[in-house]
This record gives sequence, structure tokens and C-alpha cells, in this order.
Amino acid sequence: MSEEELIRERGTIAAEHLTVTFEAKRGLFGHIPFNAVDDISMLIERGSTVALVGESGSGKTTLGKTLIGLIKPTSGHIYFHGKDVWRMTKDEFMDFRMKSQIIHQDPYSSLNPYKSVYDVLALPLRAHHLAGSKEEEREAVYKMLEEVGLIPAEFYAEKYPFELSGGQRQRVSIARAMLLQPEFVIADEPITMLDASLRLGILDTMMTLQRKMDLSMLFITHDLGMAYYIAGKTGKIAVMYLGSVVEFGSAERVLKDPMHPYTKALLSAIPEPDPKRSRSKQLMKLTRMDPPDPSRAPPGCKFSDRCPFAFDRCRKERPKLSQVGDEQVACFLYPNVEGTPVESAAK
Amino acid sequence: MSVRNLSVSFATSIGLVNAVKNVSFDVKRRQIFGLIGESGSGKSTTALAITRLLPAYAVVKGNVTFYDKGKAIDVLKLNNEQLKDFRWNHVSLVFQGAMNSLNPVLSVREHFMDTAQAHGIKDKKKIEQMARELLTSVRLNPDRVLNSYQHQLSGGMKQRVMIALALLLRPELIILDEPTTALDALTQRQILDLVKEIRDKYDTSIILITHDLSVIADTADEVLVLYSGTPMEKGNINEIFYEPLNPYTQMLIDSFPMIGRAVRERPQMLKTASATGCPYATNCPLATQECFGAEMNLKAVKGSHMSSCIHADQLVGKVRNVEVQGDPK
Repeated sequence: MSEEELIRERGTIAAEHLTVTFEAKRGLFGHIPFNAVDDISMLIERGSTVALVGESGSGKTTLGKTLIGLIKPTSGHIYFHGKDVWRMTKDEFMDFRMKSQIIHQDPYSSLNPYKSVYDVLALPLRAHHLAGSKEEEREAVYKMLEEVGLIPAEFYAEKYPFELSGGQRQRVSIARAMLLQPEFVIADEPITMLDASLRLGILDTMMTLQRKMDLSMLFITHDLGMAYYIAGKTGKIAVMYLGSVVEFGSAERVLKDPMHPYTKALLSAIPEPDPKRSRSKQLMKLTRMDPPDPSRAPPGCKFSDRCPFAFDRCRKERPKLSQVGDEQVACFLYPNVEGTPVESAAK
Repeated sequence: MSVRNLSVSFATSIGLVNAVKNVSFDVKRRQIFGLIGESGSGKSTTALAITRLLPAYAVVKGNVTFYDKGKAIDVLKLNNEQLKDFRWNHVSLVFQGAMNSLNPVLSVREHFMDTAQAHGIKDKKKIEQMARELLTSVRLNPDRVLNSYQHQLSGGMKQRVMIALALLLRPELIILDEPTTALDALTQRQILDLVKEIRDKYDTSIILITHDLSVIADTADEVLVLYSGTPMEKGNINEIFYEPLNPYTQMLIDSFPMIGRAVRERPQMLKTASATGCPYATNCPLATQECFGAEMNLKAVKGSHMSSCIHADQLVGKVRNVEVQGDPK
């Protein structure tokens, strides 16, 4: 087995040079292509957590959806236990879709309002022929409702989504994703729309289930404090900017001792729930503070037009995510970071 | 501005619903006053009540007094004509989701013209000049922005246009409702810094409404914590964060994740708020039988630091510092 194959085998999910191209409208008829996900390679090991952070428009959700096969990549490959997802047979693909689940951001629109909680949960079981009998189905649904803290299960099973609070609905979403015994779950900002006091309860439920089921998780968020809490001592953090991962490493390292100027700028900008600390922070000034247009990224390093440290090479070459010490970073300020020259004519 | 015993209730099909119960606070000159609470806590309703923007079926009780250079204005008794003068001239409000408050068929210039002319400023050149000045002070380029329509501006730019517009008639008080929700981290920082700058430059008082504890920690001088329409605690920023005198505030602080901090113990799943007495009684570690019948009024517990918790004295002196791992000692 080659080294590449070995790496693929190690991960539940491995992405290689994944690119998803969208078209941005320009004027009435013009279209220009841009990469919402731009040449991303990533390995999510069994039972591990990766927190994916980035601002709106950075391509976090697109990457997530691509990883579980909801969006077909324009180029690149996704491997599930070493098998190329888009070259699977129909049965294999069904199995992959069952074992990779997503929890959506909005608990108010992701549950069918005409179906009771019981039906919401039982349908996927039926679709994948997982329950042999009605009794088995009922038992599985009730057990999962209890796992996510909706007790008594009989009571909540009869409810319709409009009868539940936001937190309870999100618990139903979690139950729905976990019921199929997945190996890989993507949580797309699952707590953003919930009240502060409910958030940690929901997260704890998810993390307990993750440990119990030995799940691999990709947790999408724009909140760095939340990412730190989720990734914890063992998890990893990936920072995304305009479709590229610019920094990848352990949560402790990335958030306490960031390397990429973009990560540094983000960390210097966020307010903290501690007055003295928040007010003594020194903001890292960028040459341009306004958020970028994803379809108009500069050639070379995409952050080069805002980065106060940018030099000539940053505009001529695009840095590759490269190993520096214990983590990976895509920035020419660090030695051994490779780059690909920009064909100035093409872009 | 001084608010005394403000209560708001709505007549609904299930009877009167109390959205705000007995809220009192003062906003001093040049102060950033933070109103924090979760959804449904009554923070936006409070803002609408003190600007008289609630629909007619809302029952508002209490006193709202605005001091205009020593002259007291009883806001709840103003007639329509006086209200028009009161809003914008004395108080302006930037709504939640300000990104969507601009009229899509009017340019930014027309927004400034409309607002100024509606309040009796007829000189177009003067308005233009004022608009340019204000846009510059919120760090926008007037040449570009004045001719733009809302779809040509980013979220942060629209928010800044709204703030500039709110400043047009130099009100003494600006109410900002969730000014940074849905903005990116770097844009949020710009807006928060801008809020502080405006206070310093124009001597404005600001009421900052948010559910985000870190925004309050960063910006506010004084804080009122609301839960389920009930005032829980009021004090200056350091009192609230380092010596909270209401278990609800403690829980809010503890459940806010922060880089480098281990999260303290918390309840697994919160029960619904109690309908009588203290709304937090159903979840509170200090709750006793009396809490369910307690009258929830803010009482001074330590100096000007007020709490409505009947067990607040138990919490006095329990200073809590945020410990962050890896900090230099």
C-alpha cells in the first residue's frame, strides 16, 4: 500500500484536493467562476473532532456538504474508509450516505412541520431498512429520544415541531442524525440560533453521544470560543478563508498561539466575556478591514490584499498548507511553506 | 433618561401577557448602558416602550423621563407632534437587523435628505455637508456611499450608514438593538470601536441591547440583566462580571465559552422559567420555596449594585476572577 492509501485508510473521511466551483453573476449575463472550496485536503480520523472556523462566505458549509456527498466536487476526491465516494456502486453510496449525517443550523426550518417527532425519526430508519419490525422501530426511536435528553420519550414522540422550543427541536435533529448509527457527523452551526443558556447543554449531549458511538465529527462554527470548547484537549481546528484552509492544528495551538496573520487578526478582534481582558486587547490592524468578496480573491495568497505583513512573494505565488512544527499553515512568513506560482494571464 | 417601574403587557387571546415587569434604570450622559438578556427577555420591548414605538394594544405603565438640558420630558405623555420632535432630535433607535432597515429604492443621500427635511432642515447644502461629515466619522467614504443603494453596501457598511443616520440630528441618546449580530468578527470589532468613539466624540448616551455577553463586557459601562421580562441584576460592568449577585447572571457568564477557560459546572438541561416569583427559581441552585412567590424588584445590595434575588446577600463578596490557562501569572 502506498503512503497515500495508508492515510486514506486511517481516516473515516479523507479529502484530497477538493475543489467546488460556483459561478458568480456579473451584470446581467456575465458569469465568472470562483472556487467556494479551493483545493482542500483534509483527514478526519476515527473518533476525532475537527472544528471548522471561518467567517460567512468562507465556504465552510459548502465544504461540509461536499464531504458527506450532498454536493459533487468539481475536482478532487473524497474517500470514505479508503473508498472514493464518487466511484462507489449505488449500494456502497447508500451505505456512505447513511453513515455520514448532518445536523443543520436552523432547528426551525430543518424539521418537517407536518410530521410528528416520531415520524421524523422513524422515516430514515424505514428508508434504510434498519428496523425489522414496528416494535424494533419504536424501541430505537424511544431509546434515541432518551439519549438526547427528551424524556419521557413517549411524551415527546407525539409532539409536532411547532410544539417544541428551539433547543428541543435541535435535540430532535441530533437524534435524527444519530439514529442511523453514523460514523461521521457534520454539525453546521447547530447552536448558533439558540439561547446562550441552552447552548452548552446541547453541545454536551452531542459530545457524550460522540464518545459513546466513537464518531468522527466536523463542527462548523464562526465562534472561536465555541470552537475551543468543542475541540477541547484532543480535537483539531481548521481555519478557513475564502475557500482555503489557512491553518490547521490542535485547538490549544491554533487559538493560543496562532501562526497565520488571518487567525491572529480574528483572535485580536473578538470581544471576550471578561471586561478587563476584552478592553486590554490590542487589535491587529489590517490594511483593509471590510470583508472580501469571495468571487474576487486576489491572485497569490488570498489574504495578501488585507495582510499587513504581505510581501512580493505573497502576490506572485499561492501558499500551500504546509507542515510547520506541529501544525499546518499556508503563509510565506514561515520557512518551508511551498507555493504555486500564479499564472498571471489566466487569473 | 430615567425609567421607573416600566411594565409592558400585551393583550392576547390567552389574556394579558407581561412582557416587561417593573423595570427601572437611569442612563447617564456619555454612558454606554447595556441591556442583556436571552430571546424573549423583553429587552427589545423595553427599547420600543421608551421610544413609544409599541402598537396601540400594548399596555405600558410606569414613568419614562427624559432630561433635555435640565428640562424634564415625560415621554409616555407626549402627543404625536411632540413625539416626532422627541424621536431623532433627542433619541434615535437603530433596529436589530439594521442591514435591512434601508429603503432599497432610495440612495443613502436620499435617506439623509428625507430624515433632515422631515425635521425641518431645508438647506440641502447643509444636509449634504452634515451627511459627509458623519459618514467620514463612521469611516465611510462619502463620495462612494452617498450615491449607493443598500444592495451595493456590505453588512458592516449598512450598519455604519444607519449609525451615521441616527446621529444626524445630534440626539442625546442612541439606542442600538443588537448592532453586531450577524456581522463578521472583524466587522463587529469596527462597529464596537465606533460605538465607543461616538460616545466620546458627540457626548452621546447609548443603550446597547444584546444577547452577547462578550459584546457587553467589551463596551458597556453599566448593565441591566433581564430574564423573562424580569430585572435580575443591575450594576457597573465590573460588579456584574466579577461579583454577580444573581445566580442567573452567574450561569450566563459560566456558560459563555471562552478561549483558554475551562467551562464551570452547569445544569444539563434548563427547565422552563417559573411563571410566578423569580423566573430562574426552577433552575437555581439557591432556590427555596420563597423564591416562587418572591417579588422581583431590584434592591440595592452592595452600594449601587442591585439585585432582585432574595438570596443576594449570600453572594456578596464572592469575587470570581476568570482564570485562563496559560496566562502569565
